[in-house]
This record gives sequence, C-alpha cells and structure tokens, in this order.
Amino acid sequence: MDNGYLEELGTKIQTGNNLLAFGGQTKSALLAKDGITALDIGKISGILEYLPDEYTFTAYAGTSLYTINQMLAEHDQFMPFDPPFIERGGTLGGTVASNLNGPGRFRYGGVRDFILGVKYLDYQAKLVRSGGKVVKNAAGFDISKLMVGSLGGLGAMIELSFKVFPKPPEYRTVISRFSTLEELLDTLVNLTANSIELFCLDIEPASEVYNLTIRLGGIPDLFPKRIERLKQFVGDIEILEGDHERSFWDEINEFSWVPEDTLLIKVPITPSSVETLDDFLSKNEIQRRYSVGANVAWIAWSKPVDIIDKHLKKIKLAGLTILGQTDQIRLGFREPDIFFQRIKNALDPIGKWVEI
Amino acid sequence: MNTESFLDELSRLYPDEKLLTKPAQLVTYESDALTSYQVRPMAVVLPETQEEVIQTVRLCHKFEIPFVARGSGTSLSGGSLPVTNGIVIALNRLNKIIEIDPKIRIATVECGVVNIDVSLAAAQYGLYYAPDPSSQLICTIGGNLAFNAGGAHCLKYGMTSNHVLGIKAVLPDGEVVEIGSASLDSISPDTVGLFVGSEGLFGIALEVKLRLLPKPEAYRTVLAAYPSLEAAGNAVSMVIAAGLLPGAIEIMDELAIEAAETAVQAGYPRDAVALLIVELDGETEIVDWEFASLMEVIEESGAGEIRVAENDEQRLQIWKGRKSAFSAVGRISEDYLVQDGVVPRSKLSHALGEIERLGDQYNLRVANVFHAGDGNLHPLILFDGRDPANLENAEVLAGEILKMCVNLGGSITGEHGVGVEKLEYVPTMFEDADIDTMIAIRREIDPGELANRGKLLPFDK
Ligand SMILES: Cc1cc2nc3c(=O)[nH]c(=O)nc-3n(C[C@H](O)[C@H](O)[C@H](O)COP(=O)(O)OP(=O)(O)OC[C@H]3O[C@@H](n4cnc5c(N)ncnc54)[C@H](O)[C@@H]3O)c2cc1C
Repeated sequence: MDNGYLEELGTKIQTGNNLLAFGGQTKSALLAKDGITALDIGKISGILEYLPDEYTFTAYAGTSLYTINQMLAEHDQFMPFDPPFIERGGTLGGTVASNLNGPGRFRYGGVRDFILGVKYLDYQAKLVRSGGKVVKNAAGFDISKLMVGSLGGLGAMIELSFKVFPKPPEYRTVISRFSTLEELLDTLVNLTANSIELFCLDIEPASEVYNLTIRLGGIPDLFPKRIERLKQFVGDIEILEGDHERSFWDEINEFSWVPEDTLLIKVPITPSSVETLDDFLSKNEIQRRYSVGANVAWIAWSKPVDIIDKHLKKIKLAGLTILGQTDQIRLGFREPDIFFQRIKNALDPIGKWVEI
Repeated sequence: MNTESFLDELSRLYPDEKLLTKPAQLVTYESDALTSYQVRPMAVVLPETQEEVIQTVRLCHKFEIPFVARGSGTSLSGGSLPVTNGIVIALNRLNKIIEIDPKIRIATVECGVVNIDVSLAAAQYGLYYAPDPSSQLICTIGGNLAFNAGGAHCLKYGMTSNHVLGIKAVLPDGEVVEIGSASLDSISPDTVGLFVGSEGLFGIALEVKLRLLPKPEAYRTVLAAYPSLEAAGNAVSMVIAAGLLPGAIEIMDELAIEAAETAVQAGYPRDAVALLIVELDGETEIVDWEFASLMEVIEESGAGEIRVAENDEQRLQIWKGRKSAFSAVGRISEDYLVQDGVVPRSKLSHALGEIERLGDQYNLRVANVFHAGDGNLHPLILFDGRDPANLENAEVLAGEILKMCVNLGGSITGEHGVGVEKLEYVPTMFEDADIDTMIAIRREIDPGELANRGKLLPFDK
C-alpha cells in the first residue's frame, strides 16, 4: 500500500460525511446507500507479517480471505472462525466489520475470539492502534473487539492482526435426520454437553425433516471409532468425505443456497429460542439454516421485509440483512444501547461515520 | 465534595457492620496482592445485593467521591488499590450463582462469585468454566472480567474475554446497562469485548453471563526436566511445530522449582534447571493420538527425566506445584514483584536470557514461571521490602523487563493488567493517538473519573 492512498482516504475523511468503509463489496445489503462517502479499503491489501510458529498474522484490511487462506494452508493452519464469502471475494476487514463467521466457528470461536489487534483511521483521519500482535495481551481497552460488528461505523480499519490454529488434516461429515426440530434439539443438547470435538454443528430444515449436520476434524485413522461413538447419539447416519464433503461446506459458506432475489438475514439465536423462530419460518415456507449449534439463524427471506421485522420484534429477536437490496438493514427487536451510544460518541464525536 | 454528608447518606444505606470507617477495619483493604503499594480509603462498604451497589455508585456520583471495586484483592498490579478520599466497594458478598442453563451452556453469576465455584456448580451437567487463573480458588469473576484474566489454558481456550457473553453493569454515573446476550453470535459492535479488560474504569459489573464448555473427558499431562531454560524453550517450539495444540504449556525455572518444592512438595525432580509441563485435553481418542506424537517430540527434545501423570491425583500433583508457585516464592522472599509481559513465543529463550542478565546487573534474584505456550512471562523479582532502595531497584528492573517485551514485539501485560504498577509503561506500547482514544472513551463513560481513578490510563486525574 502506498502512503498516498492513506492520505487520499484521510482527505475524504476530513472533507466527507456519512463515511462508510467497504472492502470486497460481498455483503450487498450493508453497502449501497445514497449520500455516503465511500472509503474503498479493498485497495489496501497484502499480508504484512505471517509467523506460523507464533500462530499469528497481520494483514491489511482489504486483503482477500482467499489470499489469507492460501497463505495459511501452506503451513497447515487456518482461521478457526471459518469466514464466509471466500470465493465471492470477501476481505478480512469486511469480515470483521460485519462479524461474519462460518459453521466452523463452533469448534474454537468467532472473529472476536481470534482478533488480536487493529489499526484504523479515526474521525480525524488519525491512525489509531489497539491490541497487539501477540497471542495474549491485556493492555488497554480492547477496541479491536469493538470493531467486530461495527459495520464501518466507528472508523476505517487499515490493518488487522489475528491468531490462527493448526488445521485438522481431514474432515468427515455425518448427517442424521429427525422428524421434528424438538427431537433434533434434544440430541443437540446431549451432544454439546459431551466432550466429542465437533467442528460444525448445523441444522438444515428440509421438506418434512430436519437434518443435523456434524463435521468432525482430525486424523483419518480415528474417524471410524469417533463416528461409531457419534452414532450412539444420533442414530442412523449418512457420511460424507473427500471433495464431496469439502464442497458441501464450501457451498454453505458461500451461501449458494440463497436465491438471487431474496434477502439473506442473520439472526443470533440460542438452542432455546430456535423453535419459536422456526415455527414462523416453516409456516411461511422460508429457506433457512441454523448454524453454530443453533446460535445463529441464516434466513433467505423472499417476502415483504416488514413481515419478518414485525415477527422478530414479537419474539424479541434481532436480525441484520447481509445480502440483497433493502433499506431495512436492522430488523426486529432493538433496545436503546446506552453503553454503545457513549462509546460511539467518544469515537465519533462529530458524527462523521454512518449510523449503525 | 462533601465527605460528611456523603458518609451520612452512606450510613443510611448500610448498617454499621457493612460500612467500615475505623482505621483497624480498613487495614485489610489498603492494598491488594501488590503489597508494596498501600492507600487507606475513606471507607469500605460490603454490599450484599446488586441494588446496594447501584445505590452506592449513585451516591458516589452525587458527591463526586471516587470508588474502587474490589473482588478478592488478588490483583498483582495494584488494580484494587484504594484511592485517597475514595471508598472501596468490596463485592465478595455478591456471590450468587443465579442460573446454570445446561441447554445453552451458560452460567449467569454475580460478580463476587469465586472463579472455581462456577466450575463446581456446572460439574453436575458435565460442564466447566475454562479460564483458570492460578488464583482461581479465591479470585472473583468480577476481578477476572475487569482484568481479562488468563491462566494456564489460554493458547487453546483464550482468556476471560472469550468466555463472557453478557454483562449487567452499573456505569460510574449510576446508569444500569445490560450488554451482550446469551447467543454466541451477535449483530452489534462487540461492547462486551470492550468492557472486559477495562480494569474497572467503566463502573461495576454486577452480573455476568459466562460460556461453559463440556469438561474434557481425557487429560494427558507430561512433566519434563531440562538442563537449561533454553532447552525447555526449544521443546516448546518443537511441540508447536509438530502441529499440536495442547491445553497448556508451562515452564518453571530452578528457583521457582525450589520454591514450589519447599512449599508444597510437588515431587518435582530437584536437579532440573527447567521444568516443562505440557497438558493435552479433550476427546479420548484424539488425546491418545496426540499424546503419542507429543512423547516423540519430548523424547527428541533433550529432556532428562520425563514423567507422565497416570491418574488424576498425579496430574493434580503436577499442577499443585505450578499453581502455587507465586505463593511459594513468597516463602523464600517475603517481598517480590511479578511481571507478566508477553513476547512472541519464538523469542522466549532470548527474553529469558535477557532477564537473567538484567537480574545480575541489578543484583536481584529473579524466579521464572510462565505460560510458555502464550509467550507470557512471569518473572518474580525478589527484593527486601525493608530497604526502600531495594524496592526501587526491583521496580527499575521490572520496567527494563517490560520495555524489553515491547521491543521484542510483545506486550507489557498478558493477564495481570496495567493497574497502577505499569502505568508508566503504557506509552512504551501505545502512541499518543491510541492513548487519547482510550482517554476519550473513559471521559465519555466517566467524565468525573470516579471509577478506579489512577489505573490503566497514564493521564487520569
Ligand atoms: C497467587 C496468585 C496467582 C495468580 N495467578 C493468576 C493467573 O494465573 N492469571 C491471571 O490472569 N491472574 C492471576 N493472578 C492475578 C489475579 O488473581 C487476577 O487479576 C484476578 O482476576 C483478580 O481477581 P480479584 O477478585 O482478586 O480482583 P481484585 O484484585 O479485587 O480486583 C482486580 C481489578 O478488578 C476490578 N474489579 C473487581 N471486581 C469488579 C467488578 N465487579 N466490576 C468491575 N471491576 C471490578 C478492581 O477494581 C481491580 O481493578 C494471580 C494472583 C495471585 C495472588
């Protein structure tokens, strides 16, 4: 990255209003707004440091996830939060700003658990740093975590440092079918109280059944025994392996199952709230997945958006539109967040950045 | 500030036995585990309910009285050191475990709950709370949250921050807020992540939602003795290079081994110059497989004696020495300072060599026990507190070590926080713009700088 471009961004920050940073433009709903001053961070890309022995890397925010994955794969490492939209051109900064995690988050945690540090341009175009580059650090307020989910509304991230982990050599996926969600959830709860190490634990509603899809990672020799053990919990299963297995999860993480003309909505849930949400979605015949052990719902919404907005309000859940064209990005139940408002006032006292 | 009216109103909130103002009652609260710093507060209150805490903070706000939250006072950086003319809000009695929900694997607890008690309460569901600072038998969840406490298992499991999902807090102006939720995912900026590690500067966490994990079904704990710290450090690099992700990788040096042996008779090999503890945990099949690769690595690493814990008792025996190392060192020298700088793991050997050199230069003994997997050093600098010059010398040495950590690309603190003790070194790690931003946040949350004044930020009042 040349400093000239940083200066250009600086000028935009100083002269513009309604600032919004963007990267690979893969999350369509979070972008297009009239009257914004767009800051193209996608132009600031490249790996700054990768230390496989330290399990850490630092890269410019506009670096594509694809590039990072390739780099990590050479040392049998990976980003355990399993970022989505790799093929579509997602960037590291965009992943942090929108707090997007893939199904693999189940095993070790999300973006927030692996981010180590950030450098960002603030409302005065000053470069501010928080956190560090080492795997453990407790010095100062952790603004890097605050950037997770900030949707470009607190500053323009320029540089990010992350912790990574060794990648399991192979995976297997086990699919079992349940006739009701309730039955499936009983199994899910039993399974998650057990110390079997699951990489992904997703629920896939299909016609008349609910599939529980479980991904195991590790040494191939151990899979037969581990799968036998899983069967004690889930009963009859179908097993996926090899390329087929890989593309199964890749497609999920690219959201190829979401039709072009629908909105993709993310709703944080818990195994206790998923059933109420599912009642409504299944009645409306909506395509959906529940990921990360029923901690997030991904909804391909094809009807007028105010219907789901109203319903989410009623059941006290909140959603964020990630893909598609709509003015309603935030949906459902939202209480005034006094603490965040104060933080926002501190980081953006003159209201330079877009409202999030 | 009208102290008399303040104390008068406070006494309406608390009966005598819960409002301490007599010098003899205040002594216990004059310092935390960093005993070389002492300040007598104006008063100490012992609330038993969240409402009492809220009312107390509101009173402090009304009268502009600074307050310091205190859990068990085990802070090693002066985090819970009182402020002159301020009060201490001692939170140990807010110790209700409100709910353990095995379905969503969350414990909702009050801030004064002791760390280990969360795991004890969750055990009936096969769950546990992962962060395990060595002080876990006494330190509180509120103190852990304020300092983003770590422990021996951070490389694989992360720090406190990675296990806190929601916080109910009273801000320094008495406003009560709830942030975060029971879901692992979120669609808002991660304010919980910002709150954790804020060292009490954002007010008092009253109630916390903690993520619970299934208890690992298998452990394999290996103890290996080495002829030098460098050799033990190299073994750590070899373990990592083998692609293993142990739950814990710890090292102790000769002086720490000697202290631990004397104090708790952990049965460590006495002739070892350095001890490495590696623990694998998780699913039985996987742990067994990893154990075989680990042993190959350890056997090639130049270790002398190698011991493998054959049962839980032996495992706990290995940990007993490590976890009691700080207090054990306290037996060989009444006064010591613990630093907890971090260096990149590959620079551990270099950093330890430097510490040894600096120790010689300042003529002070330094014991080392540390979280090697995270590069998190814990040099314990032994000194004679009766001699002020000796303390000053120890502090200068501690500062030199911190600067070295930053120069090597690390941090001044991995888990014990800045507190008052490392204030001076914050600018070695952060630029003006970074510190100004933190101050801006502080001022927006607490313009009067009432909550834990004089900690973490170098330019507080
Ligand atoms: C022998 C020994 C071993 C230790 N080992 C470790 C270790 O392995 N890892 C590690 O990380 N630390 C360790 N520590 C340090 C210490 O135990 C931790 O920092 C712990 O988190 C402090 O908890 P506490 O309840 O004692 O808090 P205190 O010391 O009472 O307070 C610590 C800080 O938290 C603030 N605080 C307390 N409660 C609240 C609340 N409810 N809301 C807001 N702020 C609050 C205080 O104001 C203070 O700033 C060790 C300490 C000792 C003495």
